[in-house]
Amino acid sequence: MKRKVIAVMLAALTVCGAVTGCAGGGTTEGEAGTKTEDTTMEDAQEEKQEDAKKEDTEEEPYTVTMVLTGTQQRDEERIEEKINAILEPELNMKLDLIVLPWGSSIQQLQLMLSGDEKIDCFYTDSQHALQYMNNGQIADMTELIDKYGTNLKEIIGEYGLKSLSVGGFTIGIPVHFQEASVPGVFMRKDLVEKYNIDVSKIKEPADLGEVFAAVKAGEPNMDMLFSNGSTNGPLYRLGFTAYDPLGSSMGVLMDPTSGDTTVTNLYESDWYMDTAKMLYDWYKAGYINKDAATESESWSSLFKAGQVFSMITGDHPGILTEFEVSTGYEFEVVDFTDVAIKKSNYYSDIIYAIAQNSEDPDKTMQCLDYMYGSADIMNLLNWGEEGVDYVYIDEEKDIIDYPEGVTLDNVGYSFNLAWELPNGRLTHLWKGSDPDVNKKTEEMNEKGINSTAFGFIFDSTGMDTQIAALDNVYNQYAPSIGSGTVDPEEYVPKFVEALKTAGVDTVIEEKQKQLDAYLEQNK
Amino acid sequence: MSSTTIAVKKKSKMKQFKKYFPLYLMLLPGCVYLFINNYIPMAGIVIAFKKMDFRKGIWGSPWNGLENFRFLFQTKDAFIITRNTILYNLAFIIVNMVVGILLAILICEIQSKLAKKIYQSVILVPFLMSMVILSYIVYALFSSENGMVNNSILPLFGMEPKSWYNEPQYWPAILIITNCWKGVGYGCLIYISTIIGIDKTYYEAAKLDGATRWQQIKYITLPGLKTTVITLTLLSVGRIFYSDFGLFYQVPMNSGTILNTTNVIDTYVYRALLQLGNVGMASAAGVYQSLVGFVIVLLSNLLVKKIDPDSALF
Repeated sequence: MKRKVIAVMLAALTVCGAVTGCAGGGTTEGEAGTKTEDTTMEDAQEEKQEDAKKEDTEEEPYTVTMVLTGTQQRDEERIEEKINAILEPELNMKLDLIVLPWGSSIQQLQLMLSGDEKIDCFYTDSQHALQYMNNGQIADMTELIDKYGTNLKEIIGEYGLKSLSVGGFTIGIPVHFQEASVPGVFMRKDLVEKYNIDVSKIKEPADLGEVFAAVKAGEPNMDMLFSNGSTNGPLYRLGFTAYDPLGSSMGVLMDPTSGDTTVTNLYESDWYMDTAKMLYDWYKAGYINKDAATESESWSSLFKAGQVFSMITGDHPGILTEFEVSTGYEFEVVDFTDVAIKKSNYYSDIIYAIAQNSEDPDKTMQCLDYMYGSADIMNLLNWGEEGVDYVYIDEEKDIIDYPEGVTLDNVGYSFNLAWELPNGRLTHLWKGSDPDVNKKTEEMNEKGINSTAFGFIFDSTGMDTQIAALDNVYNQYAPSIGSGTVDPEEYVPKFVEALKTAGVDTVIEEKQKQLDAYLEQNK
Repeated sequence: MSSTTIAVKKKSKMKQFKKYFPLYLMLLPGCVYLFINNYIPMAGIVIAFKKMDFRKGIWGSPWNGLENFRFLFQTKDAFIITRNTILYNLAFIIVNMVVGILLAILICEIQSKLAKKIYQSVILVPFLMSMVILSYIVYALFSSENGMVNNSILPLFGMEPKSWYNEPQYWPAILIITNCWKGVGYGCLIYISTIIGIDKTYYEAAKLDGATRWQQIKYITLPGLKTTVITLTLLSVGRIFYSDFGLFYQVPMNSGTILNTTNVIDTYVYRALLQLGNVGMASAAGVYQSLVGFVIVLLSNLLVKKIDPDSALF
């Protein structure tokens, strides 16, 4: 009997040992972690309380968590401290930056918004914001803008702010960095000169065939045109002035300045077929990389490697510097048209939304509004700290460069994504930039013609089934056709057929209804 | 009389329970773990039948019947992805089993202990590789522009280079070979340990009776492996409706034109919902996969039971 008791006890002991043994490491570590945090928090709180007593303010500073996409910078904490030094006395707030990597930002953001993670505001686009709205993941900003949007109303204007309202629910606020652009071709200058290309002869995309033939003859191992299956591909970029995608490009407005308001299927259009055929001809002639459809290398690294001669992209003031800085080559640029078209997504392409999880949407909005007007914070976010991460080389023209001994490889903070920030126009210009770039952009924006559907946002509520099926069809055909790697005569009809079975006509019909209503309202 | 037997039985049951009590106690943490980790989350199945609204939470969101399942069956892809998933998994199970057993027997026949160890480890290396790395190894072979097959192997036979990532007919072979190369080491290891566990006296007796090597393999090794094979197969049959996402997404480089032979349920769901982020629809896909997987396990176990009752799992 005794033996049995001992056996039981031993067994119980081993079990307990095993359990605690497994979990042990975790808990102690976790406890230690929280403990230290607690103590520091307490310390901080005590300090603050003392401060508060001195200053007679009652509230704790609220920490606004802002989620961006890009490359996380080594010295992020240092910059956060600098930003807090501005925000704390002004608004009694703090900023916590979270930078998600490009490759997985959509998934990570989705997870953050689905769980109860701390997130206040984030950068997104209207298409995603609409989904978040339908899933109840973002807050309505209508009242918040009214209450706190003083800088916003001045900088973006009532019209831009109102354009993000979908059925009375404001999904976000546009950043101040609108760039109307026109499709153009960027060609390496050294090769253009070497083969005596007369660029004045290039009037439309089809004229490039001859240019490619001439250069290819001398550079048989190079690709003449950068192409891949993503939105950087040539077909997508050529579409900049050909149609207004009305959000998802399932149902578009062809020739968007003609005044015609019929929503049609882009993939059934002659323009799509003709452009795809042109690209396929170039592919067959060897001008486009044979692996273009599966190409995952970025355009800049391919240019840098000397692998590519040209690329079709959206041309706007300032982009040439960007090209030359990131590739190390000089470029000859030919635009296919002079006048840009401001499409339905002019304001809604890059926006900031407030998460449903936000503990204090009011304060988040206040903080965002303050940032739109603060050049200091914008520059800290984009370029880092003056004297450490950058120095002025021409203060009058607002032009900056790395300090002595600092390079792209060892700089502590250089986010360099002005277009993603609330007000990128306030950031300094990098060395080599045209000092008038902001003025020129404004001019180009003003000169641009509004699409008939300017400001329209398609609300796809209740069409998730169709959209899921359409996304699949799109991923199956569009990358190969758009990069020029398959014969459009064979694949475009298949593509259109598959879209129809997936329900594209229902989406087009709904889009037409919403567009008609929108146009009626905004007459 | 009868009451006494019952009492005796009861008593012996109690006795038995007491006797094994320590063992039951040891079982407890495992059960608790299983319950917390595998059973409690099952409540999440309701998400598949709801229109998820994060403002209202899981329980507050409105029901929407089978609406979430519709996208799985909306297009003709439904047939293609189901067919691909099942056929590929069947092929994987059979090919990996045959090749695995073959390699295991060959390795066990090796006399040198050092060589045995080396082969065993080398064969396991691909199993430890990430799918992303593997996809680039495949890409190095089949890329149209710089691939080894197009540039070095096909010219040897005077054949024209092919655009591999655009031609669906080659992908079943490529994927099955890739999967075998990657996964065979693991199964092989299990077969080797089973072969080592077979009583050596059988072989000695067979040798005395003058059995050849081939006869020894056929009559001793293979029957000895039977139970392991059945268990491993049943386990993988249960996952026949799931597919290795990395293999089907990374290795074909997400090329659209070959989707007819590379699209499986997991990649379809991923492509459909990456933009949408609809939790309900994603859960619906999960429920569908596990339900069918469950039914298939039951059926195959039934089949095994019919043929050989001792080998059935339950």
